[in-house]
Amino acid sequence: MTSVLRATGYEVHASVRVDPADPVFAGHYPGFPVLPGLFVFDHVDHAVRAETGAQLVALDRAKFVRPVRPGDDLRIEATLTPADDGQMLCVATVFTASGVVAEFRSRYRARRSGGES
Amino acid sequence: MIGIAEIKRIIPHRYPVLMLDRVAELEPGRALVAHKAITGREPCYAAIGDDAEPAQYAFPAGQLMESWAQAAVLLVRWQTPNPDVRTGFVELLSGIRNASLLGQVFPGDVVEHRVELVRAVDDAAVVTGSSVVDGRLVLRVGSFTMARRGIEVLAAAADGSEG
Repeated sequence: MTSVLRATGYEVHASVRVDPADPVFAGHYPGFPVLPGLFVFDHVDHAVRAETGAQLVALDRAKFVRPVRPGDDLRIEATLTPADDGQMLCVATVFTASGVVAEFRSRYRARRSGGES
Repeated sequence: MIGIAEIKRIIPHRYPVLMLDRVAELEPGRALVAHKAITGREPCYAAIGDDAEPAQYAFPAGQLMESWAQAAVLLVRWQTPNPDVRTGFVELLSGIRNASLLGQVFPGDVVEHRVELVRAVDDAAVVTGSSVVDGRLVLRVGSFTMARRGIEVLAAAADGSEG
C-alpha cells in the first residue's frame, strides 16, 4: 500500500492511496468513514522503516489536523536527523489534497542484528 | 464481565476496528484497565507471505496505540456514551505527547491497557497510561487528548474548508 517514491539520505517521501474498499471503514465509523489517526501514523512508520530499517522507539508528538476519508491520497514527507544515543529524530507531515492532515515527531533507533525485539 | 457487547454500548468503534476485548477494572471517571488479545487473524497479517521474517509479525505500533486509545475513549465516555456516530458526534483524537514504544507485541500476546483520566473539560479530555504484556511494559503514553466533534464540522474539514 505504501510506495516509496524517493529516499535520498534522511528524506523519505511516500504516497498512499486510501482504498475506499478497506474493511477498516465498516467499523470506523458506521455511517461516517474516517481513517483512524493512528493508522495514518502507521503509514508513516511503515514508509520510514522500509527505507531505513530502523525501529520506532517513541512518538513524542502527534497532532491530528483534519480527518482522512476513503479515497484520499496521502502524501508523506518525513525528515530524519541524527539525535542523541544513536537515535534518529523523525519529523513527518502528512497531506491530502485538502492540506495537512497530521504532523508527527517520532524517534527511531537502528535495528540491531540478532533479532532483538 | 464487561465484554464486547457492553463496550459497544459506550463507544462507536466496530468490527474490524474495535480493538478491545474486555474490561478488567473500572473506576468511572478515574481509571480503567482493558484487555486486547492479539492473534494471527488480525487484518494486518493478511498480506504477509510465507517467506516473511518473524519480525514482520510485530503488531504495528499505530494499531497498538489505537487499541490503547480506544480504552481511553471507553473511560472518558463511560458516563456519556456515544455508541453511534450517526447521532451526530464523532470521537477523534487531537493529539498525543510522549508515547514510548518499549517492546514489541506478537500474536498470542494479551495486551493489558491501563488508562487514567487526567482531566475532562466540556467535550475534550486528557488521558495518560500504559500497556503491559505479561508484566512487561510495551507502551507508555504521556498524554492523549481527545474531543467529541460534530459530524458536520468534520465533513467540512475533510473538504478543506476548515483551516
